[in-house]
Amino acid sequence: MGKDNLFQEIGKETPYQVPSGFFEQISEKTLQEARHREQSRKRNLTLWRTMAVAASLVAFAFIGYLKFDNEKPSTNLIVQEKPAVTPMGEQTQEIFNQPAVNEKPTIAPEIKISTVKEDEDISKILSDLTDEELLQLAAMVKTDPFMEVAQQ
Amino acid sequence: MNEASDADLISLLNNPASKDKGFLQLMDTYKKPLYWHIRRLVVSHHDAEDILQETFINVYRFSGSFKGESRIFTWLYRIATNECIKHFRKNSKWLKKSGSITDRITGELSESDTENSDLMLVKFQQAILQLPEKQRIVFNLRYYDELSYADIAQILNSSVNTLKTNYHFASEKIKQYLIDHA
Repeated sequence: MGKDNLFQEIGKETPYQVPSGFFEQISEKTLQEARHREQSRKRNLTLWRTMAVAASLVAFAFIGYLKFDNEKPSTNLIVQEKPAVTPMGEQTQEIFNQPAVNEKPTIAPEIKISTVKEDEDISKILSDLTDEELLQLAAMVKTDPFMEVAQQ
Repeated sequence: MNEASDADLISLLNNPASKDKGFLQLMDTYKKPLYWHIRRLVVSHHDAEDILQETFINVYRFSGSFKGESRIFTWLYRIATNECIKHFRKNSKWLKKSGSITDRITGELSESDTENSDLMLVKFQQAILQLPEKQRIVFNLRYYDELSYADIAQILNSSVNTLKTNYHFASEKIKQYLIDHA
């Protein structure tokens, strides 16, 4: 039995069957499904676009806030960045710049205030006082605790 | 399937106002040959219905991408065949534990209502289902759909010589199967 003869004998029919009314309904059914999917796709696309725009706005606002915040004078401590390991030469220079431990710190010159005029004024006041007044003043000096501390 | 009507269908599809009308005309023209092409490959009516719908939904969505470089029916057959291959790949993962896809398809064929059908037709289908995937597709397109090798080459993106070889081997295997199971 030749191949062509065999195939001719069988023909082009198939043993498969189709439910009745299938071909009449499938077109409209498929069109409805296609429309539905197209609408869902468009809705999703719109939703994604809206979300993308919203996310971009939030990102811009955040970046803007960060930039504005950096431009304001900060009350926080400013930490000066230094390399973790200072080169040897720089370290030596820093040591030289620091005051030596035994070195005396520079002291501001003493201010000498002349008290000659004050002494003259006090002598004049005392000479004007009576004996009673002088005794009272002496007693007051002895009893005043603040005067004692000042004398010590 | 002439080129003038193809051009009309495409212009209807690409116009938003007449898209649905064009889609229905396209379906009415090609739904039967495409359904049978799919059904012969996947056997189950429900699978064939799903794949047919998926094919035309893809057409509805991507009709704008059809450039008219090939005829519309080769484009449709290509989409449908790719959907079938996708279906095989998806099911082959699922079928790893329960046997080969051919066994499953053959099983479904035996379970289907064949009381009025000739047993020879069932055996012939079983012989076709024993073929490797590519040979099965080539044989069906050539034998049942009577497409030229040039058209099949466009659908499967393959050379004519390869397709002729595939068809030859497929025919020999079917013949041998029928002799062995006579």
